[in-house]
Amino acid sequence: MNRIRMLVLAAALAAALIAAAGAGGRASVSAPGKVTIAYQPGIGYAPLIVLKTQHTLEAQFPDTTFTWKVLSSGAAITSGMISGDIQIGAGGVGPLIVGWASGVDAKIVAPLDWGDLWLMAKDPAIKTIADLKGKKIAMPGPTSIQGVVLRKMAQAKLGDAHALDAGIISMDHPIAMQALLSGQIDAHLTSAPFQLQEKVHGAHVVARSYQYFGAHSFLDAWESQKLYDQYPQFSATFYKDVSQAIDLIKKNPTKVAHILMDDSGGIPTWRQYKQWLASSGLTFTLRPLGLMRFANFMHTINMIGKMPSSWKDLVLPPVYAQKGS
Amino acid sequence: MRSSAALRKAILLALLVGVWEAYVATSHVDHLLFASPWQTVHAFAAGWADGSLAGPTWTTLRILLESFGIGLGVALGFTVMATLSTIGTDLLDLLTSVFNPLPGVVVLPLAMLWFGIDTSAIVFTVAFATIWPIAINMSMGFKTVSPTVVAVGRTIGLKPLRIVTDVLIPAALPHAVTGLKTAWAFGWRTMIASELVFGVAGSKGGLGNYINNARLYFLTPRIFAGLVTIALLGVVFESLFGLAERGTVVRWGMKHS
Amino acid sequence: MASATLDSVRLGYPTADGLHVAVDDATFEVEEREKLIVIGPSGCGKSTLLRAVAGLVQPLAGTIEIAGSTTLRPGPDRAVVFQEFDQLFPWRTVLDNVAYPLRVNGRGRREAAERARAFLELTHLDGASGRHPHELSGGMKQRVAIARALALEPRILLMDEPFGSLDAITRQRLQAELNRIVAETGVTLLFVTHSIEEALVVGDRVVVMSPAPSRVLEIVDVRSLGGPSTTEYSEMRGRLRRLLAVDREELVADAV
Repeated sequence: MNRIRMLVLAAALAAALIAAAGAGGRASVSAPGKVTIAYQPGIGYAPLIVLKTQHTLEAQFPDTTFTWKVLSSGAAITSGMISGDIQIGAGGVGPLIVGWASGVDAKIVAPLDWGDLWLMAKDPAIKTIADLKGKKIAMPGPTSIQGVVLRKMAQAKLGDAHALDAGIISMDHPIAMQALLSGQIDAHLTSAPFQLQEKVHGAHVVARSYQYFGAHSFLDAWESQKLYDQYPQFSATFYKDVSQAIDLIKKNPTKVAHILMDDSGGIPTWRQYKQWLASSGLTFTLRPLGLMRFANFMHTINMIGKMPSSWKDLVLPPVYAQKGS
Repeated sequence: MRSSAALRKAILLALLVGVWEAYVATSHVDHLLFASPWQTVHAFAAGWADGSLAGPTWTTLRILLESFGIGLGVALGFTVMATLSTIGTDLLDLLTSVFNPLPGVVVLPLAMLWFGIDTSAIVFTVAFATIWPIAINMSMGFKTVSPTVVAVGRTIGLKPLRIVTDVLIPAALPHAVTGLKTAWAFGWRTMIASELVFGVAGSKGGLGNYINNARLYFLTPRIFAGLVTIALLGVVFESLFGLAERGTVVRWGMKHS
Repeated sequence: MASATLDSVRLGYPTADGLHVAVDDATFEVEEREKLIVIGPSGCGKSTLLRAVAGLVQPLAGTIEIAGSTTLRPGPDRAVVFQEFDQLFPWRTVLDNVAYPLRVNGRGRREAAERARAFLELTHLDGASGRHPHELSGGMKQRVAIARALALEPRILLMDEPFGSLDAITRQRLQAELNRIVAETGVTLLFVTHSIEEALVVGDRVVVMSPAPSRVLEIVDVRSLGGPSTTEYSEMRGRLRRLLAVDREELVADAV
């Protein structure tokens, strides 16, 4: 009897020690050794650019190697997250929701902004959505947020969400802008600052995403649930850093304009950036807006096979506190 | 003899598929990264059943045939020119040594600038890839025609044009077939690569586009199914070429290797 | 009546070192229905001579007159049997190899096929008419070539060392067959060889050429010789040997 009780006690103690060691082990390693952060071209990623140039994360986690990358599409970023190349990716809600529905482990760790996405055309004959039938429309891809927006526009104006699908050409924003201005494509469904640059160079706005979805989330930073579970403090810190970056943009746009100018090698000027920050249809905020509206639409047109039960399915714990939708 | 080799290969194939299935089952690899044989077969069967693979396959083949036809025509022109004149030969040699080593896809960005973002850019790119193998092989074929057989053509009273059609062309056929086979292989590869690079979404698109789309929607089994389709098509065309060869150059004892 | 008249024919071709004259002066006649052999050492231009009669090369000087015309283009009236086995079209059957030239020259499909079959029978090849040349032995291929040439009813049948690539036994057999066929058809034959034995077996007259730049050394009549075991045969063979060994040039090896 005694012997057995002693054994049980010993086993329990051992288990407790192991658990404590394990927990202690997790707590003592606060961040991954290598973190690659990838985003795409556009000033909607300004909060990340601020973090990058100010080396905020590098200072907070000196033992971690941070690599910053710019990729051309949300699909590329999601692929990178699946393969483990990218730890924090940033992109539009389109690839996020499509990925979620397919079982990709990527959720929002910090929203970045809301954004009005404009459908630009150069030819004055293209005035309405109906004029786009049979025309070439560039956007990052069929599963990008712009892809979803186009289908919403097509459904609303032409009765068929896929009426314009045949004209979708996958191009990243800078290349598509060149193509639009040189006449190689007919329209470009894009975002800030490209839509503004195109306007300056003679293109006009055919339609805007806010007209069809209301104000909505545009870009978010993503992380895998798996990584979050391993490094919750790192993720929480990241969230706070983004929050501060957003505050900086609101309180000191001149400084952020300089940061953006330096990051892009001096062109365009900081004055231009400041103007864009103010007028481009972007609202920098941590509040996710309209995620369910998008998911709903995507589900009805069979872009995704299953629906999230609530917006919280798409985000990680730091974001729960927000009034999301 | 032939059937025992086929049997051995079939067994090997079954073994490899078994290893593949075992790997997926035991390694718990992310299903988004790697599809199992069963998932692939399922996606393949479903894709053919509901037509979602048939459309892209036909589109790819149609564009490939069109491009191949154009490449063949241009190659024939070069060949005739090379056969009839020394400058023609020099020109063809020069162009071939510069262009043949280029991977076909490399021309696509230029093609997109010249032809716009259109299927014609792909047609140009694929045609370009097919011209050089055909032209080299055909002109080689013409140059190495036995002078005896040409002399025979003359002595039986053939006019120069008929010597070309009735003597030179059949005599050069083995080389021509080699050229066609190589060109088809190049064209095929260039076609799929161009589609992947081109990335046009939407309902008209070929197999490369089908695979690209599957990637965008994280439907990895479909990527595998697309690859299987491409591989199978490759096998089909190999056999078709083999059949054509057996009915001609092999039957005539002209197959040179 | 001569089928062909060669008058001071001069033949040569350009080389890296200037013009090489193979034949300096060839003057002789080919009589109707005769079997005329042209024999000479290597390089004496005998093949070139044959090709000139065929119209495949043009003389540098002199004339070749055939049926009143001296401008010679290649044509079926001077059908040629070459030495090489690849003179047949590999992509055509044996029958078609013989019939196609007939169609080219105006005969109808059926007529050409019938005529082709007849000439293949003549050369004992009717059993092979459905095969392709690559399935035939060397000797059979040459027989097809002969059938092809004869079916065209040439004014002169030109043969350029047609049995040179065959083994001795087949060669002898084909020489005998050739004699039989020519006797049956009555065709005029101009035959080039380097073998004295062959010249004696096949020929009526033999034109002996000197080494390049060649001229006609002698024309001998061999048609009334007895068989190989007779003295006149041996004497003639010796005479030809001496003629061909002029200036201690390479002794022409006898075929057998």
